[in-house]
Amino acid sequence: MPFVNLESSDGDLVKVDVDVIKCSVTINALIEHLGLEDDNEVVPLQNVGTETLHKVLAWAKHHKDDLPSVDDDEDDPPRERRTDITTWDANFIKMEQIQLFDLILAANYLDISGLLDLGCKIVADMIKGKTADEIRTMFNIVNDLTPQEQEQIRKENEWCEEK
Amino acid sequence: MEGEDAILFQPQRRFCGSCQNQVWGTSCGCVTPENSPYIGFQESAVLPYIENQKYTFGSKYTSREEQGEFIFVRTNKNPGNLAEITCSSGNWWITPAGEVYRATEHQDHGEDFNISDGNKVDLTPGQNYLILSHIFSYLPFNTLKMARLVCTQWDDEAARILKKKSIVSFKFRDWYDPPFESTKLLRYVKEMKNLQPPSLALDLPPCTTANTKLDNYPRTARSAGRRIIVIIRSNTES
Repeated sequence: MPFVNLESSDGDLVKVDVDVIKCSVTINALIEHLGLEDDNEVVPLQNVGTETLHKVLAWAKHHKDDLPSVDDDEDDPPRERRTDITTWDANFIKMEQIQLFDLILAANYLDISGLLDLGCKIVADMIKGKTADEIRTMFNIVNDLTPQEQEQIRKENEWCEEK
Repeated sequence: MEGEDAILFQPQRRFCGSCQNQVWGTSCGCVTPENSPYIGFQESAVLPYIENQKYTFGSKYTSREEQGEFIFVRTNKNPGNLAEITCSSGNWWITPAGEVYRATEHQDHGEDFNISDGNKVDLTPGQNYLILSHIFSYLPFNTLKMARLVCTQWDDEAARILKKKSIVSFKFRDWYDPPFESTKLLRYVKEMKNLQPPSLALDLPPCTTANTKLDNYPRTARSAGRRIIVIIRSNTES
């Protein structure tokens, strides 16, 4: 069974079954295009720490037999459905906010759509029902909107009804 | 660029659905390079990250030693070098008009880079354009409205999605209330600057029975574009 060595940004090496990490488009492309046939080849992952990498691999191992997802339009309303989080995923994603953010950034970097979907659904749930101030605190965002711009947004929001 | 010596960027002739007209690139103003970076231009290219590589955008080429890879930009506003991008220590260092910015990964949408004074950028999913777009796709309508009030970047992205999901209704059917609805229409034109949804629902007054052809028309019209033309015929024409 072929393996690939992944090197985290902390410099740790993790040996992974290629079949497990095939969900990562980034690593898959590296393996295919660079021809990493030797088991001693190392793939450096500059943006993924060791702890996060282990979480990614735990998720990938559990989902390695899943059917590939079908790409759809991100703006489509059906994407708001919340019922497709399995019990395993719900337990897996229970973690500190900073770890969750690291996991989402890693899923984005490694291009693992299933894991990115899961993380984004959870963050969307965290945003729901919060005020703009609470959201800014949660994401460490500075408000760069002027009072006039905020007033303009409020006026525009009043006009819009959902289709 | 790999495999190519030069790529020509130029505006593309296209049909704008909002203006109902043929326009060059984004000249009509209905779409901007910020919210629709791939509309209206013939080509795009990614500058590859090569350690210590320098890219210069400008209208005058001097030398490779001085400017690195040169990208010609046709401009009359600021002859000379418009911007320089240097790849160093895992970052793209952008120097327009003497100010240094650091662009982080995945932020290839025009101005979507974080300004840094050299310290580590505290990047969270809420500040990453691609992830933000993904998160917003799961937000309900009213939360998207709230998201617009967080910061400029969130406003831009939430507004883009809200436009597609929104509709603005005007009810012209009530004969006892026409002045208010007309005033409302004027207020709409004045207030709606940044978020004109592509759909308008116009609830029109009932047609007279004297014109049987018109009587078969649906009384509520929905527009596909932003412009609706209503033709009113007098009864004498029939």
